[in-house]
Amino acid sequence: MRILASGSSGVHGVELGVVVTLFVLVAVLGFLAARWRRSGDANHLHEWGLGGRSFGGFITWFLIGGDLYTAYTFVAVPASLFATGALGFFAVGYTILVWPLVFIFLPRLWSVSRKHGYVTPADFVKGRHGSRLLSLAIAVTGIVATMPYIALQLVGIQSVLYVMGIGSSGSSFAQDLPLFVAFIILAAFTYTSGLRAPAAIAFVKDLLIYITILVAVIYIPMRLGGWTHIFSAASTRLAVKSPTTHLPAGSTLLAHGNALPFATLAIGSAMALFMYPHAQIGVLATKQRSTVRRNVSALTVYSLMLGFVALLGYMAIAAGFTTKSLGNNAQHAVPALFDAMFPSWFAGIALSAIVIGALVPAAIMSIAAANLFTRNIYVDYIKPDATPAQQTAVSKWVSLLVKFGALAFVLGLDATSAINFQLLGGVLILQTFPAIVGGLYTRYFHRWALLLGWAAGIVYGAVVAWQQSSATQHHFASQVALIPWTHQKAYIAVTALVVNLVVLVVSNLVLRAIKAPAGVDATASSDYDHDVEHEEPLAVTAKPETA
Amino acid sequence: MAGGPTPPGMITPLRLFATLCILAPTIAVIAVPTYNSATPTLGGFPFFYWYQLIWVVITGILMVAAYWAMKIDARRRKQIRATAEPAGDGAGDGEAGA
Repeated sequence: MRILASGSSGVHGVELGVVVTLFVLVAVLGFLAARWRRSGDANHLHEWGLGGRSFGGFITWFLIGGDLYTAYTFVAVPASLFATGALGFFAVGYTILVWPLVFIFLPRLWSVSRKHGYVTPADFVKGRHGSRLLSLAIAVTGIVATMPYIALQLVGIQSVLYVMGIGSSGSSFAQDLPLFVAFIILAAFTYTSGLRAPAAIAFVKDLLIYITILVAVIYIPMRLGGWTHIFSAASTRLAVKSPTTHLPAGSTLLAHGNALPFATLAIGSAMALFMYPHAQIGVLATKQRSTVRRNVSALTVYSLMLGFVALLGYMAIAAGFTTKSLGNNAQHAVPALFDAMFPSWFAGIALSAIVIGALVPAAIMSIAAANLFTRNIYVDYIKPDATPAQQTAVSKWVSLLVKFGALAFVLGLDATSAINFQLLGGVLILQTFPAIVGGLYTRYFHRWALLLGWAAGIVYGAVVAWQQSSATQHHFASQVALIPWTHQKAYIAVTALVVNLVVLVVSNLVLRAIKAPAGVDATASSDYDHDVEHEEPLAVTAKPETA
Repeated sequence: MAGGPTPPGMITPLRLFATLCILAPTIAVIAVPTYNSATPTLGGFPFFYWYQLIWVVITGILMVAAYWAMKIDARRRKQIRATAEPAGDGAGDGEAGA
């Protein structure tokens, strides 16, 4: 059974029409969102950057869902199953593990951030450990890790454009023009509406995504001859040995030695997710401490959907697509599958779901990166007496800058490098875990030890990730690498975190032994448990309160 | 879990129950060799796949259970504290909404 895209050249008119219409709709919504639930001082960074910290359970569900459901999960996760099989399914384990973690530590971060008016994780680190340098390290890591993540959202949009027949021919300017236009609109509504824009668009986005996935997991298997056939087709295709390496591409079960890579990818990614500033933003923007915990169980619906999205990769195999027929880019698997399977009007809706699903996280990420720059670089190092209005202005401009940086990234480098840098970003961001999550529970660790551990983890992770080569790529070819002195592979981020923790513990003992000056803690232990509901967040307290 | 200013004897059956609810999905996912198998199949899905998808659903249920356990526990501790300090200083922020 082979149902292949006819490879028809030219623009797919109906699909394009549907995508453009829905895009215009969400753009209007994005601009209108500026007036939505407006309460406090519009010039304050809390308003633009955290939606006034006013979001209840319902909106939070959509907003955090926006962090989880990016173009990356919609495009790259199924592409990974398409290309290598079972190992790519770690994404489901990862999105299971993330919820217990959220349940445990995010309420504490919420409480302390609300009490002290922290907008970014680096704000918290500065207040808790009393170290501007450590806070700078956290902020820079956050920005560096987020940039390629935004770039990846664009890669998702690009692959939709490719499948619709735009961007596969003609001059390179005409090829990139639609992406450019989409981007300018995204940048404009994020600038005017701040976090309210992605929060409002997230409704439309999720509606489209849920419709698409429900239809896809019922309709496509029916057309392809059922799930049994899909899994056996995938298993057969993945077992074919590559002519260059003489090894099978993968399998539908984990090969020998892949259990630890699978488990560490799941754990490492789960621990890393809420270290990303854009993921924390959804939590800090909530009205009450209990909102997050109450929401966790409902948020698992996203994980379930993600599991089915991942299996679209196998459906693409069963539909007869090969890497070659996808223009040598597995990332096109899902858009091409939608294009081939659905009638063109519904393919248009499904492709819009991917495009709009890329816009929401791109907006949240650029806001998060902008907040980090403003609070932890601009205010701390450039203009300490910046007023809230000035901070908001800087954040707005930086959000534009970050997005155009990501655009330059995608246009200047190829899509593969965007994905490589995103993988590297995951390795880097996990190294902030001890300072942030550790800091929520204990001040046992000295600020300089945390900084040394961070540096060791970053250097080790970056070097090892850079060294990974394959037949087609010289660097960043794999997320997993051999653990030193063993024959066992594991996720690089997790190995780097172990290096980080070893350096942290050893240097901590030394620093405590020589009585190095500890930083001043601006927080009190009761700050981590409280639940303010009516109190307005005050200015950031970086100095201890005189209580 | 919610650490902070908790009264002595903080390990209550409810908190223990919540901890187990949180640990269970973690263990279920980490024990990779136990579910890396094609059989038994369910609706055409190899065991490896449906096991993980079902654990997503179970995790959702366990998180609701943990939320309610923590909530009831917080209310009880508040009551205990209120009876211990009849003055009621109104600063019982240590417990709220845990």
